[in-house]
Amino acid sequence: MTASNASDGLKTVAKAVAVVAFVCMLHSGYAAREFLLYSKSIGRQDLTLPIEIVLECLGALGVMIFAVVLGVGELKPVSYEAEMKRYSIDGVFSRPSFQVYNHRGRYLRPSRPAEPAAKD
Amino acid sequence: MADGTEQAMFLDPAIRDWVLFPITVIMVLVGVFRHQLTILMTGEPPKPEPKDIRQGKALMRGQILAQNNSYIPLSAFAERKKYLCAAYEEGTYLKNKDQKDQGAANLMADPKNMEVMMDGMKKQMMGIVPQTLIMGWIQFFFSGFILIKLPFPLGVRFKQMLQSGIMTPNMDVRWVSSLSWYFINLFGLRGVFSLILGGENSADGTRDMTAMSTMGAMGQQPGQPQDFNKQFLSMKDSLSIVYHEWDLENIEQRVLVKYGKQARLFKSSRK
Amino acid sequence: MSSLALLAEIRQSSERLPYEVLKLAEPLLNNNQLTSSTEDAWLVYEQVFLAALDEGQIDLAKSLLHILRTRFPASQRVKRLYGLVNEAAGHPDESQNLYAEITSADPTNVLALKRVIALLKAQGKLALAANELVAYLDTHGNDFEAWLELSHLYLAHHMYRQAAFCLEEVILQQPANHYFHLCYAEINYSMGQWDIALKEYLRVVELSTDNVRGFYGIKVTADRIIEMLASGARAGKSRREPQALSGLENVPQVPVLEKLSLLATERLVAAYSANNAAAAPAKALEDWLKQ
Repeated sequence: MTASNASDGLKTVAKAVAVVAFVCMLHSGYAAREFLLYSKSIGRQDLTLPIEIVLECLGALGVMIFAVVLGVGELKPVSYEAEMKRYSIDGVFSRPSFQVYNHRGRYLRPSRPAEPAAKD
Repeated sequence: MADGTEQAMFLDPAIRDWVLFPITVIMVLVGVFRHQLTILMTGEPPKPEPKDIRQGKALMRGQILAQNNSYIPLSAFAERKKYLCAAYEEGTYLKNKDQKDQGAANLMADPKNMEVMMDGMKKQMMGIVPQTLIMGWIQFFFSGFILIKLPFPLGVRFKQMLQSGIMTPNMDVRWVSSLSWYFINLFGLRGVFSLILGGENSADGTRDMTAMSTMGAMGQQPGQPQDFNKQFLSMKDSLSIVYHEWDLENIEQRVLVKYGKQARLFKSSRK
Repeated sequence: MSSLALLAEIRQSSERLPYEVLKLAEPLLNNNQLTSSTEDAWLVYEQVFLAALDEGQIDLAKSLLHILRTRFPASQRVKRLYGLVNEAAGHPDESQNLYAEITSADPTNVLALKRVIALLKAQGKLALAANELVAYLDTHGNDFEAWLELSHLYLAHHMYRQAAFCLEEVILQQPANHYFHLCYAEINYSMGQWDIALKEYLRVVELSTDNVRGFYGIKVTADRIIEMLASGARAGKSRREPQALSGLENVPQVPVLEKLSLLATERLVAAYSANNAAAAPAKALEDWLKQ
C-alpha cells in the first residue's frame, strides 16, 4: 500500500510540475511577443531575443516533458513477449465457442469446494 | 500585419446579425438535418450471404498466406499455394461460379448489387446537394461581403484562405470574406457535430469532398461491388511469385545467440 | 483489485474458471451491485451464467438468463444461451432445434453455427463434428478458434497430419504466439518429423524466454536426433537405410545439436533451482537430464 501511495504522491507532484512548466512556457511566449513589440516601437528590427527568454522556454519544455512522462502512470513493457506473458496456455487453447456443458462439473463441487474447476 | 497603421473600417452590426450568424446557424442545421436524413434512409445494412463471406474469406486466406508464408515449413507452404492457386483459377470460391467468365457485366444484373450502388449514390447526393445550394446562396446574396475581423494578426499567406471572393490586395488579412467564412464553417464544424450528434455522425460535408476526389482517381464509385474473379486471379499471380524462405532456417543459431552460447549470427548451417 | 476488474481479466484471458467466477460474482449478485449502470454489466451476467452452467447450478443460470432476456428480448446471442441451458440440463435435442432455428433465420450467425458443432462433440460424435467443422471452415477460413478446435478433434483420432495442417493455419494467422508453435512442435514430434519439431521448439524458446515446455522438447528431440544419426551412420556402413532417416532431412550438424541439448539442460536446471521449494523433483530431474 505504501508503495502505491508513494507513487500516487509522486504522480500528483509530477503533474503539478508539468502544469507549472507549461505556464512557464506560455510566459516565455508572452515575453517574446512583448519584446518584439518593444523592439518595433523603438524602431530597431535587428535585436535578437534575450537569452533568458530562450532559456526559459527550452528549460520549461524539458522539465515539462520529463514531468509528463513521470506523471502519466505506469509504463508498460513494449516487447511482444511481455504482452504474451498475460496469456496462459489454458486461455489460448480454451476455445470458448466450442465448450461443452454436459460434463462432470456439477458432480464435483459439493464434496470438494476448494478444488479448481473442472476442465475438459 | 498590425504594423501601427490600423485600417479604420467598421462593420455594420446588421451584417453580424443578418449574415454572419445566419450562415453559421444554417450550416449547423443543415448538418443535423443531413444526419437525421441519413439515419432515416440507410436503415439496416444488407446482411451478407454465407457465399459472400466465403468469397471474402478465401481472398483473405490468400493474403495471409502471401504475408506470413515464412512462418510455416516449405512443404506446408507449397501445398497451400498449389491448392489456393488452383482454387482461384477454377473459381471454386466464387459466389456465382457458373457465371465467372461473364465478368463485370453481370454485376449490374444482381439486384442486391444495384441496391448497394444506389445507396452509395443517394448518400453522396445528400452530401453534395445541400452544400452546393448553400454555396450558391452565399455567392448570390453575399458575394463580396466582409463578415468578421479576427482578433489576432495573421501572415499574408492566409489571404487566399480568408478573403476568397474579394479582390482587395491591400486589405488586412484579419478581415474574413463571406465565402471564406463558409469554408471555415464547412471544415470547422466537424467538432461541433461530433459534440452534438456523437462521434459517428454523417453530418460532415468534408468527407464527401474527399470521397469525390478519390473517386476520380479510383475510377469507380465507393461501395460498388468488386469483381472477385479478377481479384482472385491477381491474388493467384501474387501468390505464385512468392519466394518462400522458412523463418526457422537458422533458428538454432538465433537461439544459441539469444541464450549467450554463441557470439555471432552465422548463416544457417545445413547438414 | 475489485472483483469486477478480476472478472474482466478472466473474461479477457478466456480461461475457464467457473468456480472462481462464481466466487467473485456471488457478493455482487447478492448485494444487487450489478446494475445496468455498471460497466460491462451484461457481459458479467453472461460470464456468470456460463460459469453457473459449468458448475451445474442450473437454477442460478436460469435466473440470470431471465435478467438478460428482459434486457435484450430480441437478441440472437441471448437466444443461444437458452440452448446452452438445455445442453447443460441434458436436453440436446431441444438445443439442436433452437440452433437450427437461429441458423435458418440468419445463416451467418457464427456463434450458433459453432454451437451446432460443439453439440455434436458433446454427444460424442467426433467424426461428424469434424466433418461439420470442415464445412464451416470452408466458409469462415479465418476463424483460428475453429482451426484449433479441428486440430484437437483430429488429435483425438490420432490424425497428426491433419492436425498439423490446422495448426499451420493458426500459425499463419498468429505467427508470434509461441503456444501455437509449441503445439505444432509437439504434433510434429508425434509424427516423427524431428527436424521440424526441433526447429519449432527452438522457435518457442526464442519467442518466450526460458519456456520450460519448449526446452524439454528441445532436449528430447535433440537427443533423439543425435542418437538416430549415430545409429544411422553405423547402419549406413553396411547398407543404406532411407527409412531410418526420414524426418531428418533438415537437421543441424551434430555439434550444434549437442550444444542445444546442453543449453536445454542448463536452462531447465536453472529454471527448477530458481524456486528451491521443489528441491527433490529438481534433483530427480537433473539426474534424468544428465544420464
